[in-house]
Amino acid sequence: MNWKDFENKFQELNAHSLKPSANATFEEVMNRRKKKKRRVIIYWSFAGLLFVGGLGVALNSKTNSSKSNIDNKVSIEQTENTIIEKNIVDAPKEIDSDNLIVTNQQYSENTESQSTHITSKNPKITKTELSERSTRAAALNLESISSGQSNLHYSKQKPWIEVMSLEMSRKIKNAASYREYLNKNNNQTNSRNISNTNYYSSNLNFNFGGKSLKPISLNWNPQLGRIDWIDGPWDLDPRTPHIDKRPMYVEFSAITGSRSQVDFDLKQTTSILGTQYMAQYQVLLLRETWDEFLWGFGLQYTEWIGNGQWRNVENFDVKVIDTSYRIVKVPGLPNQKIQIIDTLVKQESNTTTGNIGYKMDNLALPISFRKVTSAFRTPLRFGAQLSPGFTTYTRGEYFSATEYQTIGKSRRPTFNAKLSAGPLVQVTGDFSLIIEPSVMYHSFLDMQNNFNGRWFTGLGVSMQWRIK
Amino acid sequence: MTDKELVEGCIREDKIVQRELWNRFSGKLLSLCMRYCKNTEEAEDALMEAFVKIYNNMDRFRYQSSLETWMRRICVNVSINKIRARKNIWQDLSESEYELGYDDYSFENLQLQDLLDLINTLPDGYRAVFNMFAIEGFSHKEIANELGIDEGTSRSQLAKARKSLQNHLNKMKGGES
Repeated sequence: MNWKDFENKFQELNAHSLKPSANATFEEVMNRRKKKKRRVIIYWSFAGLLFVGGLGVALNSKTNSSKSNIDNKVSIEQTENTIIEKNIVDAPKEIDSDNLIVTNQQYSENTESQSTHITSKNPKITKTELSERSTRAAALNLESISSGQSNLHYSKQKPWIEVMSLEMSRKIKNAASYREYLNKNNNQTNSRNISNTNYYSSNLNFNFGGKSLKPISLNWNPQLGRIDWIDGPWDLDPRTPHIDKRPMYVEFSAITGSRSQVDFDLKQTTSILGTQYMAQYQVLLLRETWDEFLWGFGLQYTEWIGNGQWRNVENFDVKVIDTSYRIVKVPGLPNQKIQIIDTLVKQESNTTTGNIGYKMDNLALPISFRKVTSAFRTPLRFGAQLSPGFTTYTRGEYFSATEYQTIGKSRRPTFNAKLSAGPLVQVTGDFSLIIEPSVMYHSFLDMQNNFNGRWFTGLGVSMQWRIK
Repeated sequence: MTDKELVEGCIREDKIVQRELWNRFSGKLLSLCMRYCKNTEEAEDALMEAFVKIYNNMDRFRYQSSLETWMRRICVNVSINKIRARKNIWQDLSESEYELGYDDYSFENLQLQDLLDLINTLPDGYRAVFNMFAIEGFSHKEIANELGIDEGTSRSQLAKARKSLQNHLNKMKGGES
C-alpha cells in the first residue's frame, strides 16, 4: 500500500460522525443567531449614526469654510477704496441738495482710489468724505450726514443702508409698513430679513438737489452673530418688530422594535410562539410652543411582521377493555367459565404543529409631542405620539400567544402610540440627532371589530432640522 | 425529508425543519470540524458558527452541489478561519525533506477513530492542508487561495504532514510488534 492508498483511507472519515456534546445544541445555535442579528442591528444603527453625524460635521465645516471666505472677502474690501456710486464720482464733486430723494444708497467697490465730496445746503450737512477704505468706515461716515428725517435700515442677511425721504420715513412706523415699502420699491430684502432687521430711526434731513441715487448691493453678507460691523453711535432706541419667532423643525426618524414569545404555553390547548417585528419611518413638522416644548403633525409608515409556529394539543380518552376468562371449579358442580371484563380509561393526546406568519403595513398621521430637557449635563428629549391610521397591505394570519386569526384583505383602521426618551446630540446649530429607546403600541381593528394590540420595545434614530 | 424540503423549510424559518437539519448533519460536520480544530471545544464552536451561517445564508444555496457538500464547505471555511486566527502556523520545509520514503504498513487495520487521532497529532498548518488536500479534495491552488498562502507553502505543508504521519505510523507499528 502506498501513500495514495493511505490518503484514500482518510476518505472514510467523510462518513464519520460524532455526537455533539451538551454544549453544542440546536438551541444554542438559535441563540447565537439571535445575538448575531441583534449585533447586526446595533452595528448598522451605530454606523448610521456615525454616517449621519459625519455628514452633519462635514456640512458644518463646509459652512464654516464659507464663513471664512466671506471674512476673506471683507478683508479684501477693506484694502480697496470705496465710494458711494460711480456716477456721483463722474458728476461734479459738490452736490447741492434741495429735495432729498435718495433711496437705498449703497457703496460699491472701486478699484481706483477716488473720493467724492457731498455738500448740502443744510447747515448740518457740510461735507462728507466717502473715500473710506472700508464699508464699515463708510457707514460710520454717514453719521456725519446729520439729519433732518430719514431711516437707516440694515439686515444681517443683506445689508442695506438707506436714506429716504421725509414723507416716506413718516409712513414707516413698524416692520409691516417697512415690508410694504420694500415691496413697493422692489427691494430684494425679503420678509425673513425683516424679521432679523435691527430697526433704527434717525432724523436725517438733507437734500441732493433732486438727484436720486440707485441702490447698489454691497455684496456684503455678514453672518448671524456678527453684527458689530455697524455700531455707530446712533443714539437711537431699536424697535423690535412683533414677529413670531417660535422655531419650527422637520424631523425624520426610523425605529425598529420586536417582541418574542419563545415558549409554547403548555396550559393552553392552542399556543403559539414566534417573533413579531416592526419597522417604522416617519416625517414630522414640529413647532416649538413654549419652553422647548414641541408639537406637530406628520406622516408615518409602519411595517409589522410576525413569524411563528402554532401547536394544537387535542386530548382525548381511550377506553381499553381487557377481557379474560376464569374457570371456577365448585365441588359437586360443573366447572363455571367466568368472563372478566376489565375496563381502563387512558388519556392520550394528538399534537399538531404548523407555521404561521403575517405582514401588515400601515400608514398613519401622527400627532407628536416633544419636550427637551437635560439630566447630568446631557440634553434629553422625551417624546409621546399618537398615530391613527389604516392598513395599506395585509397578508397571513395575525397571532397572539394563544390564538390566531385571518387579518383580511380589506383596509382596517390602525392605532399606534409611542413613548420615547433619549439623548439629543446637537451636531450643528440647526441639526440634531436623537437616539430614542422607545416603547410602542401597535394595534388594528380586526374583522370582528375588536382592537388587537401589541407592545413593542425598540430603538430608533431621529434627525431634526430647524427650518425657521 | 429531501434536500429541497430542508432548504425551503430553513428559508421560511421553520423551526422543525431547522432542527431536522441540525440532527441530520451536526454529527458529520462535527467530525469534519474535529479534523481541523485543536480540541473538541473549538470544533463545537466552529460547528455552531457554521450552522448560524448555514441558516442565515440558506437562501443563497443554488443546488449546484448537494446540500451536504455546500454545508461541508461552509464548515471548512469556518474552521480555516479559526486556524488562520492563530499565528505562526505555517512552517517552511527544505527541499530535501520533500523526498519521503515510507514503510510498508497495513493501513487496513486502522479504524476511523485511529485516523482521526492520527490527524490530530499534526500541527495546525499541516493538519489544515492535509485535510483539504487528502480528504476534501482541494487542489494546492485552491488551498493556497483559501488559506492565503503560496502554493509552494501548501505543498511543503502537505509533505511535512505526510512525513509526520509516517513517523506516527512507524511508532504505531513499533508498538504493535
